[in-house]
Amino acid sequence: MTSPVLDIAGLEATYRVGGTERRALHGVDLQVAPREIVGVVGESGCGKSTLASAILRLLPPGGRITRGRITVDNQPVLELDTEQMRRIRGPGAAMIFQDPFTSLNPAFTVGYQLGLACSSHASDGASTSQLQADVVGALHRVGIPDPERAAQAHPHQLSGGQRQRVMIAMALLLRPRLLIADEPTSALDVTLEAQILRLLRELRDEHGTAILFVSHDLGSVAQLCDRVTIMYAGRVVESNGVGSLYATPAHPYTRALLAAAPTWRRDGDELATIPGRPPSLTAPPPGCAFAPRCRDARQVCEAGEPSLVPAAGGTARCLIHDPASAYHRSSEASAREVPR
Amino acid sequence: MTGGPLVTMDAVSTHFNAPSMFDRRPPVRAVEAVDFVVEPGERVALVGESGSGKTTLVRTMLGLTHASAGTVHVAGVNVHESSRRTRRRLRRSAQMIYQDPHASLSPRHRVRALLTEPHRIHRIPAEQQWSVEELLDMVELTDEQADKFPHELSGGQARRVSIARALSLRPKLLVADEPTAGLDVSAASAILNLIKRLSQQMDMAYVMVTHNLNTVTFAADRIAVMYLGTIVENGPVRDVLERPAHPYTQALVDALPEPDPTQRRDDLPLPGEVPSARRPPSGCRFHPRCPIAVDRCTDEVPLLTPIVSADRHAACHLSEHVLEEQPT
Repeated sequence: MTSPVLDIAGLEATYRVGGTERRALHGVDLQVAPREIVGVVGESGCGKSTLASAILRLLPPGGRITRGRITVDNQPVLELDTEQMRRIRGPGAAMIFQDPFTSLNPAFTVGYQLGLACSSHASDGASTSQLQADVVGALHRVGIPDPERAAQAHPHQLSGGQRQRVMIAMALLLRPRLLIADEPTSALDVTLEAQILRLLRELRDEHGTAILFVSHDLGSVAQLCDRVTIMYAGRVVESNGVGSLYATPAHPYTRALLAAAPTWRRDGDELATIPGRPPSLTAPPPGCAFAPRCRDARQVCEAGEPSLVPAAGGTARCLIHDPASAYHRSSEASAREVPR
Repeated sequence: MTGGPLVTMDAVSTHFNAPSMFDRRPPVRAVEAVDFVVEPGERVALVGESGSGKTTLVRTMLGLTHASAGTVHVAGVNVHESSRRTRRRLRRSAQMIYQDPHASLSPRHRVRALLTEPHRIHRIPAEQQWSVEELLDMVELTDEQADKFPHELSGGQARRVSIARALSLRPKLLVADEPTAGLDVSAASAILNLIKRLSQQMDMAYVMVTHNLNTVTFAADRIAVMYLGTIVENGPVRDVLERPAHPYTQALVDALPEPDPTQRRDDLPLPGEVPSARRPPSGCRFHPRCPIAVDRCTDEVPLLTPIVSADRHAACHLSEHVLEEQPT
């Protein structure tokens, strides 16, 4: 087996807000193999963006990695100095964000920034004209109309969809081993979303780039990913191949998410929702974090935190799948009524 | 009040940035010759890509943006040619909720003050006023929320406050511009459930701007699809989505990512992007992106005409062909 491009083990991260510590990540394990596209799915506040930013040590101010190990392309990210880190970002791993406006410098043209990104990481001294041709070629490739003119444009002169495609053009030029995409299509129309998903797939197919795709949209994840990790309250609650995860979701939260994904083909008087709200990260409940919202929860679920156990061909953090658990003892078997 | 439509927009155009001596570029034709009707109690979804003119159309409907041509009547009032006093009456019968609730709620006021403000502005007699508790209960918030400031509310809660504010005047029409933008799926569904239930209870019509086609069959009775400032198709929502008569509607439906990994698409439903509204393409505005365009489409502007049934319209020279291609 080839070593994974991304290997995360036991990762913990906290944010300091006011005087309180919020635990944003809680012992997260995650691997991404070369050429693999892995989806990370969850509601806002589940830690998926924190996880994505932590990989390249780009946590916002107040955020801190407190424990764990991150390996990108066989390099221990958390032990590198600034210069070594700079060399990882780019050819090793690149990141695209939900709002590409914040990742482009408003003072320089798009073409200049793309060229700069390439030249600063290129080992051979490519000529300026070659760089320019590459940049225009990449912009053309991502479907930006009139790429020569777009290269001369400043970021504010492009639409949101165009800026997102500029970021993907940068990824095409850098050909990173790992691309971290944090909600890259959430702000876009479905037509543009389809174009971006296709570009990401081509990036993988042609350059073998592994992709960590963070999203809350089960539709685009189903269309793009090979494997899916579901997060809840800073923990991984389920991981499986995309086919099994959608066909036989093992964790009650995954089931609830899938049931709540609206589709126009479905009829009904009400759209399905998940009752309740995600728990507080400052004072998380003692047992399973999802128990207060779970329709299958029993008393024992609130006692201690379940661990990840094999389920439906993948893993799930739920006592239902732990045969040794007290959950399955008949004396406990009366399902608790969950208040809505 | 008469029994006619609640909203009648007749050949309405909204153009921005007319040419001047400093900027000789042609104006942005955000909305172009649109006819649009909303019946009392009707729920309408307005869909289309960014830049299609959805928001401009609803703002023009309520007189928040000036119409360059055409007339708009809402609840019997000519929106663009009425006195201040009449317009104030109009605001009572037609309310709007905006995309970003935090931007539309004053950060200095508590929820209690925000909820009673509309009553004060419109000088609603005390016996007709709803209490703060009634309004909070209506949008499924608890009494404790009354003393909070907007920044202490979650996105979903802030939206509920906006809805309660808008509905406190018992409007006949609610215009909601992307009311679920930025919310998690479950929270968004809860907001749509709420708006629909309240519209049924209060016998209120709404026009909802959205780009989420997955929820429109639930939220709306009728759908209007916009492209580059014009309505290209409208009709009963399920009929339109199941058998689109316009290639643009078809492309929007096809572009929806199915939450099913066994149904992956490899083809691209619609390449390119919405062109500039300063220089819209000739003929049918959709022709440069249309997979089935013929010569006629580049010359001749297609008009919105009845197709299949009296309540369905499409603006496409090839509608018959589009419908034939689909399984029935």
